[in-house]
Amino acid sequence: MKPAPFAYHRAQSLDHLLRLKADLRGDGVILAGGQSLVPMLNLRLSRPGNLIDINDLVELDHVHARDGMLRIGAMVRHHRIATHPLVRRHHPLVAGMASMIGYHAIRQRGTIGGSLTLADPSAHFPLAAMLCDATLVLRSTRGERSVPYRALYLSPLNCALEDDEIVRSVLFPIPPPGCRMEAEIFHLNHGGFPLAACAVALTADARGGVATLTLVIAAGGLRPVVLDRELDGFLGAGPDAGLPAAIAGHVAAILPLEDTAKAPAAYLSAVVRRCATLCVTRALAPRAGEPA
Amino acid sequence: MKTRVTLTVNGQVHDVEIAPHYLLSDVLRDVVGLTATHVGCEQGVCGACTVLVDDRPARACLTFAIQMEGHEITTLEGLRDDPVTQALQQAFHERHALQCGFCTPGFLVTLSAWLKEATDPTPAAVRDLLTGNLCRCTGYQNIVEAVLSVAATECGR
Repeated sequence: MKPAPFAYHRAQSLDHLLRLKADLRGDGVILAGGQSLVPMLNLRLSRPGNLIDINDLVELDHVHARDGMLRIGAMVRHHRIATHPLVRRHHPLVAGMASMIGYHAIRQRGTIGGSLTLADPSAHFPLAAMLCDATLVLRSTRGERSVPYRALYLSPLNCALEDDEIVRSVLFPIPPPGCRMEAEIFHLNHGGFPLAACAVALTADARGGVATLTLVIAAGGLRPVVLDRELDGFLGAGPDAGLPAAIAGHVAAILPLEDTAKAPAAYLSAVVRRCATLCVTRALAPRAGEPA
Repeated sequence: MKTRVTLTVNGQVHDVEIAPHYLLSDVLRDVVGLTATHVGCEQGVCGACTVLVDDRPARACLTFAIQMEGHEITTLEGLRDDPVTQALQQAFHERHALQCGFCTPGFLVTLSAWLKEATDPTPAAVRDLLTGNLCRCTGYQNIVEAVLSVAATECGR
C-alpha cells in the first residue's frame, strides 16, 4: 500500500528541528531511519500531517566514550553501532544487539533513537537499554533533560516524551571490569520480531559465584521486565552446574505471562526459561585471558 | 501538492516533480523510468526494491524520494559495469540461482555491496545476509552456492 499524503520538513540543524517540533507538537512526527515508521505509514496504520526528516542532522550522529559513559547520538544507525570500534570495545552487548536487528539493509538505515522511542516490547535496543540502565538525553526549545530509559518507557509503544521533545543521545554506562553481559533472542523467523528475549548482567565473585545479577526479559508483548532485587536470593550462589536453570526457573515463575495470539503462556514460559538458561550459562563461563 | 526535487540516480541528475509521500521505489520506476527496482511487499520484508543510497543498501519502499535530495542513489541499472555485479550475474546464470527473476535485482544489489565489505563470507554469513531477501522459487541453495563461488574470487581483493 501507499502512504497518505503529508507535509515534509527537512530539519537543517538541531535548532531548526527543535523549532519545528515546538510549532507542530504532536502532529510533527520525526522521520529517523524510517524502518518501522514507513511500514506503518505504508499500511496507513499511522497518518501524521507532518513528517520531520532528521536524517541529515550531523548533531545527532556521534559516538563517544568518556567519563565511564558510552554516548551514542540518536541518529546513529544500527550497522554503525554494530561495527564501531568504541562500541565494540566498551560495550560489546550493545554492538552485538545492533548486529542482530532485522536484516542487513534495515540495519543500514534504522537508528537507535528511533528504536528506543518506538519502544517495541520485543525489540533489541529497548532490552539492552533497560538492562544497562541507559539514560536518554532529551532536548526541546525549553532546554535539556536526562531521563533513565526504564522510567521513560511507560508501556509498549509508549515513551514519556513531551510533544516538543526529541532524543539527542543515549548514554550507556560502560560496564565495570568483571561485569559480563549476555543476551539470547528467540525468533520464529530469522530477522523477524523476537518472540522472547533475555539479557543478563552478571558479576562473578572470586570463587566464580554470583556477586551481582540483573536480568531483563521481553516476552508476550509485555513491557520488558527488569529483575534485580527479585534475584537477591541467588547472590553468593554457585558456581554450580544447576545454577543457570535454577535462575531461569525462578524468572519464568514470577513473570506474569498470558496466552497471546502468537503463542500460549506455557510455550512463552518455556522459551523464557531456555533463553535465560543460555545467557546465564554464558555469563558464568570462564573466559580465556580472565582470572578464574 | 507536488514539489520539484533533484535526484541523482546512477550518476545522472533528474529534476522530478513529486509529492512528498511518493516512495522512492515508485519514483524510480514510474517517474525516472528505471524498472530494475521491483516492488514486492512495501513493508521492508521482501528486499525486491533494495537500492544503494550513498553506496549502502536500503529499501526503496521505506524511503521517500524527497529525502534523497543531496544523496546518491544506485539501482541495478547503475551496476551494469560493476565487476562484482557482473560476476554475480554470471554465477546466478551458471548455477540456476533464479527462476522467475522477480527477486533477483534485490539480491544482486544487496550482494554486490556486501561482497565489497565482507571479510569472511562463510555459508552461514551468506545465509544470514540473505534472510533480508525473499525468493519464492529457488529454495536459496543455488543462490548461496552462486554467492560463495563469487566470494571465493572477489573477497579480500
